[in-house]
Amino acid sequence: MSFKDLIKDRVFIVSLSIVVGLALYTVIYPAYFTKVDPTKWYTYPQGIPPCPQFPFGTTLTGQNLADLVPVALRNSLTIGLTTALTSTAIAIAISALATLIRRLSTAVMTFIDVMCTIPPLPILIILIFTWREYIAIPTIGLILSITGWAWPSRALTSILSSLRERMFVFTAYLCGLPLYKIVAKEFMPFLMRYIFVHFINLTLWGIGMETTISLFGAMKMETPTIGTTLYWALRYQAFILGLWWWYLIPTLFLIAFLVSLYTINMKVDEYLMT
Amino acid sequence: MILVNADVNNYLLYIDKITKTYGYGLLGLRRFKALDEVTLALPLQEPEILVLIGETGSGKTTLLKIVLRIVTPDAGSVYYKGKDIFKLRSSEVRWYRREVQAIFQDPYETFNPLRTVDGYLFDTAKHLLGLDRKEAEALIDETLNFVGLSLSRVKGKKIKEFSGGELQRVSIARAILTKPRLLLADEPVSMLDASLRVNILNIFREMKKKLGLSIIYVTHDLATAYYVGDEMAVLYRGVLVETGSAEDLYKEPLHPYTQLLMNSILEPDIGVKNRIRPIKLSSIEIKEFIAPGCKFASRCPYATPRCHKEIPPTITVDNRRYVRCWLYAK
Amino acid sequence: MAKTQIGNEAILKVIDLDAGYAIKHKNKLVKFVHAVDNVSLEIRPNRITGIAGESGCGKSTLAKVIYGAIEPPLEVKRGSVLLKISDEYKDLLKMSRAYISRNIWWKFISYIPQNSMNVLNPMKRIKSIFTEISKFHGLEVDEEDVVKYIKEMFKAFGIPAEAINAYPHQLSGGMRQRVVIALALMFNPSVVIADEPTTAVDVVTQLGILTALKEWQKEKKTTMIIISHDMGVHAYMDDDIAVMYAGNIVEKGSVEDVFEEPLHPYTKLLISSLIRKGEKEFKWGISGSPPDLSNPPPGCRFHPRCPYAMERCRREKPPITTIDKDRIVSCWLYEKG
Repeated sequence: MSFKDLIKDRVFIVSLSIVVGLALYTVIYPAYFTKVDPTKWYTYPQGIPPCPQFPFGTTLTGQNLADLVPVALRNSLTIGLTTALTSTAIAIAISALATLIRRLSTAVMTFIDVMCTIPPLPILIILIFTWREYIAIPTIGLILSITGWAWPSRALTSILSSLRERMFVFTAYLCGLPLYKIVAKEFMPFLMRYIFVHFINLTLWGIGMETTISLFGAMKMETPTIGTTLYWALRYQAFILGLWWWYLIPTLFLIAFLVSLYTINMKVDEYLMT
Repeated sequence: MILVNADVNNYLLYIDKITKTYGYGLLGLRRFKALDEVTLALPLQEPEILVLIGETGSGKTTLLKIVLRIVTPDAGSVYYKGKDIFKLRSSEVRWYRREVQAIFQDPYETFNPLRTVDGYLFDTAKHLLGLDRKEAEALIDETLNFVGLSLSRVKGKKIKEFSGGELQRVSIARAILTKPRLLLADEPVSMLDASLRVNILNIFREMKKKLGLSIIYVTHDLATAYYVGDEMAVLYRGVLVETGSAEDLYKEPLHPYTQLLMNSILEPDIGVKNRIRPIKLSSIEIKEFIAPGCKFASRCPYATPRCHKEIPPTITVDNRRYVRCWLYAK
Repeated sequence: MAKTQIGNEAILKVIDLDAGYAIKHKNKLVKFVHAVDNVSLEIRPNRITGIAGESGCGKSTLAKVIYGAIEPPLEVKRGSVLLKISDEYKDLLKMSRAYISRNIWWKFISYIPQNSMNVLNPMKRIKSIFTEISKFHGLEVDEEDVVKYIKEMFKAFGIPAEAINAYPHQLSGGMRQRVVIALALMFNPSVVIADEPTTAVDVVTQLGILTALKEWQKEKKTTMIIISHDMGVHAYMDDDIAVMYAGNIVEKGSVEDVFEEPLHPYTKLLISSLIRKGEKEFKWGISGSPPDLSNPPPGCRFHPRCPYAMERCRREKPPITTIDKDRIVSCWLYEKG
């Protein structure tokens, strides 16, 4: 699949538009269209279903969903992105350590494997719950990275290990290239695909983790994220009371974003594979 | 190939009693010698093509890696133009890279499939020779012409756009770009079609004649060995069992293993067709490596009890003609 | 498991075979690599026939089609492969894969691949691989019989007895290749196709394996087809040889005739470019490279590299000329008129 094919692929174009569109929406809408701080409770009449005045309805906590959803989505995305960035950076660093410095190889690989087996959820819940007063939203992403780097690192390590043994690395060495240039010229083209795929996966994972932790009530509950919004919807019996707009609309936005991002991931992977 | 008390400055390359041990088995605690006191030398004045004959497991790849400074020997030294290559100053390392180059068996593995092939040529010109773009282009084109290609033919292309023979020639061009004095060639033609092999081997002969290049040509194909080789050395399980000129080893192989190899050549010639030659095949390899005594004893038709117990010493048969076999001991 | 062939009639006939690889992108045909171009071949029983040629000439594809291992992107466009079973010729291309794999493979035709790891399940010990294949072919064999058979075969091929209980990765490449050969010969098939059987092994092992195969053939009167690019192997093994170039059979005959008096220019150049033992004089190789089979040259496929190419060669494909009994060549030089 060539680059031109990728750009012309309809599914790809649609997914990319959705992702970019939603991202812009989360930035532009709150900046220009929101007049009142959407995070404050009891600013609006409670529990009103979608109508011309409140397109997404209002919650039982008195918040306008139309103003709340973009902010929530933005916060969730921020967490996802910071998780992806930090985890990928850590994964690359640790994989490089494991494969390029032979003496540390076994030790580092064992460490990676141990980190892979540790269940992330309980640890993250405890960490975030303990520190939530003191940290901001992006920092949550950093905390998620503590466990997020392990699996990508494992994959990168195995690829790097097999790459290191290949003949052309030796050829580059014979050309007089220093180590960092060998990494850049010989390894990077192979790694780019995996790094891209891992990055998107980590974004998705980060958002998913955030949602889960919020549903446990361990997140910064007064900050709107998709997860916290759902939490409050549950707490206030939205399901039973039939306030479908409170839980359905944020969820739909989230699903739209996740599915589109995942589809982009698949399409780009297909392109990079050939 | 003089073995004792020689002045290392008289030789281009002097490999002096190189030994390399590896671990195996559980926890890698048991040891076997991949190379056992191997000594070889190439003369300084005249370029020479030395053929190192060895099958898989002979240690030939390890020896090449040692000469290229990728693997450090456990004992012994390697001298290039009199200098110990494992004691070079960092400024000399670059010099060594220019002087000693290598080409490999599989041309499709020699280059990164995701990179262009000429990238390697330019990298060499830049990092080992310090040339700028224009000078590099001129030198690269000239070198490619020597092997029958040109820069325009090669520029911007990746490995899949070349045939095996062409790619191997690019590999040679990359290696001789810095005008080295020594080229290590690890089975350079075994992956090419038979009719193309002679083309590459002719390039080797040209390189020796026109560029004064000495070559260590590693192979297990004896027919091509004779076509290019001046001197030969036979490696068996890490031990150098026989050395001599190509003529000598062909007309009169001394060591039973060399004799076995010579007999195993399948000629594209039907004169020998109907003879079915009996042969004793080897068992799982590690046993041979750790056997006391001569490593070939378990397969040798002339083995005596002494062969199984004691390693034969190196016996001088003639000038530059050595064999390690009890058959020739006085 | 018929194995005694009386009479000299061909045991295997390939007739007008056309096959190749269809490279598709999103279900649209991008190109067709015409690897086997109008090939006809007759294999006589109780003889070793070699198919020689360099990489890309189509010999491996031909072997796969004869054997019946036809999987996309490999496609057979036309032709038939007739195998003589109980005095009757049956077209293998018309049989279903299931029928072939259960009744033909291992029993009538066996295939020795180039890469032994394609056959051996890395998860199973050698002994169980043998036992399983016996069971699959509906032969209720006693495990003891299998072990006895294996021990005999291993002795003949120089495989140490301990290998019976080993896993494939514990054996060296040469050993694995011998195991695969022993496996292929287990039911004493009438036809054995060996695809580059010794390319991956060392010179000494090669001689051992080929000698063992030769002895087997002599004793059991098996028909063997050896595919190899190594003319030395063909000189040692073959009774008859067929030379392939760019998907066509350019010459065929007894191995004495073809080696001593090659007719086709390609065969001539090929044989003269081979380095023999004890040769040091300058030799020429063949210039140029084999054509791209998805876009072969018009006329004779060898004409761009042929020193004798005539105008006719560039336009028309040469027919198959029968010089003598069993001696054929496909070249305009030998066609009268």
